[in-house]
Amino acid sequence: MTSSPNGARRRRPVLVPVASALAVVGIGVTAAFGGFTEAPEKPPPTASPGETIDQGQFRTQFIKAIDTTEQGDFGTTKRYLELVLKVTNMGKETASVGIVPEPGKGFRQSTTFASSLLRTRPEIKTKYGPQVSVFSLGVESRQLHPGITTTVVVKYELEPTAAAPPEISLDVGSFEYQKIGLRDQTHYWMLAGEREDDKGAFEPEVAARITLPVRKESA
Amino acid sequence: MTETPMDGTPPRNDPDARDWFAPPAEQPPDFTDITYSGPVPPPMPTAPPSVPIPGTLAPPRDLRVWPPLEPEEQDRSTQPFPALRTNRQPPPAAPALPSLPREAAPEPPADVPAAPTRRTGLLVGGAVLSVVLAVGAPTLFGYQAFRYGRPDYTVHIVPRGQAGVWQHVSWRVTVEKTEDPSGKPERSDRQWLKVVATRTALDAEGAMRHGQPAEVKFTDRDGRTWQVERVSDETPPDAKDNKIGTPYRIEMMGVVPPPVADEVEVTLRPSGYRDVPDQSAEDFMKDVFTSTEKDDHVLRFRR
Amino acid sequence: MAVTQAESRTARRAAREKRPRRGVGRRIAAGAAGIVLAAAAVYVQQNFSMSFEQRTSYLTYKGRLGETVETKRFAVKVLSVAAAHAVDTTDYSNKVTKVATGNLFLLVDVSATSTREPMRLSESSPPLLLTADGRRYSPTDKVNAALTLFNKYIQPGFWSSGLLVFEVPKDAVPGAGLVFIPPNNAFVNDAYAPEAQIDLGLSGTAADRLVSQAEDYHSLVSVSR
Repeated sequence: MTSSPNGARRRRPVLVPVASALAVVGIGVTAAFGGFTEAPEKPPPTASPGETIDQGQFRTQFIKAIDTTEQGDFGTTKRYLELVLKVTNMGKETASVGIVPEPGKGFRQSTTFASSLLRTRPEIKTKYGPQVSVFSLGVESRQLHPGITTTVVVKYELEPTAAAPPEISLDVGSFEYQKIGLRDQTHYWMLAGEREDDKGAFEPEVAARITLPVRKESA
Repeated sequence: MTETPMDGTPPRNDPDARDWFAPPAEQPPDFTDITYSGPVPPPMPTAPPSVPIPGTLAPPRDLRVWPPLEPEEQDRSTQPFPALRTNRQPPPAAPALPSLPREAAPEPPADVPAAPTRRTGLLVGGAVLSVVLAVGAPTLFGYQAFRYGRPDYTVHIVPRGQAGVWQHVSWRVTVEKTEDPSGKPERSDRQWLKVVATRTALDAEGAMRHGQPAEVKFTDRDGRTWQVERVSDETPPDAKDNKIGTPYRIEMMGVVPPPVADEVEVTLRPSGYRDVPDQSAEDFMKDVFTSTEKDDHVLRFRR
Repeated sequence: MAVTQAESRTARRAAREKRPRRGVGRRIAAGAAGIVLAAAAVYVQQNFSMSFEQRTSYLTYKGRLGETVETKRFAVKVLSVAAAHAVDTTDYSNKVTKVATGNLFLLVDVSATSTREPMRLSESSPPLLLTADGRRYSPTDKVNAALTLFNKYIQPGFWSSGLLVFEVPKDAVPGAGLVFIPPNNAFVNDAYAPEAQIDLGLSGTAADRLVSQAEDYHSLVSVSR
């Protein structure tokens, strides 16, 4: 209340003015350097053919890309561009191989393996998208069981006369073990990435970029 | 400490009674009110802090030196203006200080034995209520979800040998024992049954309702059910070919344990599907979404 | 003014001290009990709380190979377990093809009956093979479901049996069990539905024997019931 004029001298408060001065100087310096901008995105790490890519739920090797023909039904021949992968499910549950995301249609936060094959360069146009299946000892499957390494083949059907690209480059995503929501908190391996403003389009993170030369191979 | 009147304009029925700068009479004196020189009332008691501050608060040690302490009531004002009010009432006496804590203090000793029981009752009641809510609310929610998944059907009992009519279609059902259709050796723990249901459209509306039954099951007296699989259906796929009054046969098969083979009854739930001839797909979809009819009526054929 | 405030403060303090107090010992004991209760609540929450998956999983009934595990909605037993390097399957035109694996096919012969209504195993929530280290294998899709228990109706009053075929690596065999999950309503997921977890009796030597004596070829078509 009333302060005595001959009371003990109070120490001058220095901390607050000094801190404010420092803050002002800091903001000034930041502004002088152009403020905060988003740092340029680092290019995703590149992988070479045969190198094992860690996709979280899967360990994946890209073996080869081949331009091949196959005997179809009724004596027709079909031409395919095939990507051959070796995939090991490192998770604890049987996973589905799923389908490759359609180019230009955006991405879904999927749990299937093929959803991590984000895009190819050049983009290969097919009518129904590529077929993805698991092959071992000639038996086809659509499951990736835990602890089993299998061959996954991605087949793009080509026009018989179309020229196959000399090489094909792929963006590969990875998976994160996370809960799917606040209400349903079940954990799943899901494609890693970010959503703009929590609601916008899902943009998966590119874990690796790999370029495979396309070789001609007769079936 | 200062309370300004909520209605900013003080009553002005007697404008000359009060100076321009003088606060209204109802207002307690303010120490910034330089016009006031009456007795200083004790301050409005502030509520004792609900959270006691730990430690002891030293009383202020400063001493009033100016103006010098004078006997109160004596007007020592040195302010020459503005003029003092004449109609000013002494401020309302603040409530007596000690009364407030005393009110908050515990009840007289006579109440002491009653208080714990009341509190225990409240505690037990609260505990029971929270347990009931914690268990009951999810249970109720789950039960409603369960009911949603299994709606209540209205069962129409059809006496033995008679026809059951629902939505312009007459249904008849016969059940007979049969052998395993796959020709595998008979097993003692199961009995194959063949069901023949005949549907007859009673009018044009009935002819439109020629969809396959939504569900056909065997039911025993205990309410256990067995699957009935359709083998053949003579009903024409087009409503136009569905003749009014012509019975169409639907053959079905099922397996039940032998002890109930003579007892099980067929429950047939007709489908609300309506095939209006020459109806556009749009109108059909509109009908589907505007229809309030649910497939929730079951015909139970007595044996 | 200062004097009056000091007065009021002392008056208030005096009033507070006038309130009847419980004994100091009781107060300390009550405080300690409160702290212990709060600490216990935090401890239980930290150490014994179930994960979301555990809280929402089905009610599990446990049993062993050969035993009947009875739940409110169904009863199930595992009759036998076999292993093979190759099985066979049929396609839509009933053409039989041989299916080989570099791993192992586990053939679990399961028999089940239902309590009140017919049910059929669901491909979307199938029975699982649970390994000792917690891996969960779905039945293989290399074998046509028509040859397995998936094709059978499980109904009240009699037992229906069929095979469940799993493709697993050899290290999944020791300690493996079958989790028999009944189909669930497509619209409303019943979190309190029962499931049965059956130990297949594949401890140490039994597992080794099963793996080493795995058949080269086990035909499913000929034994299909």
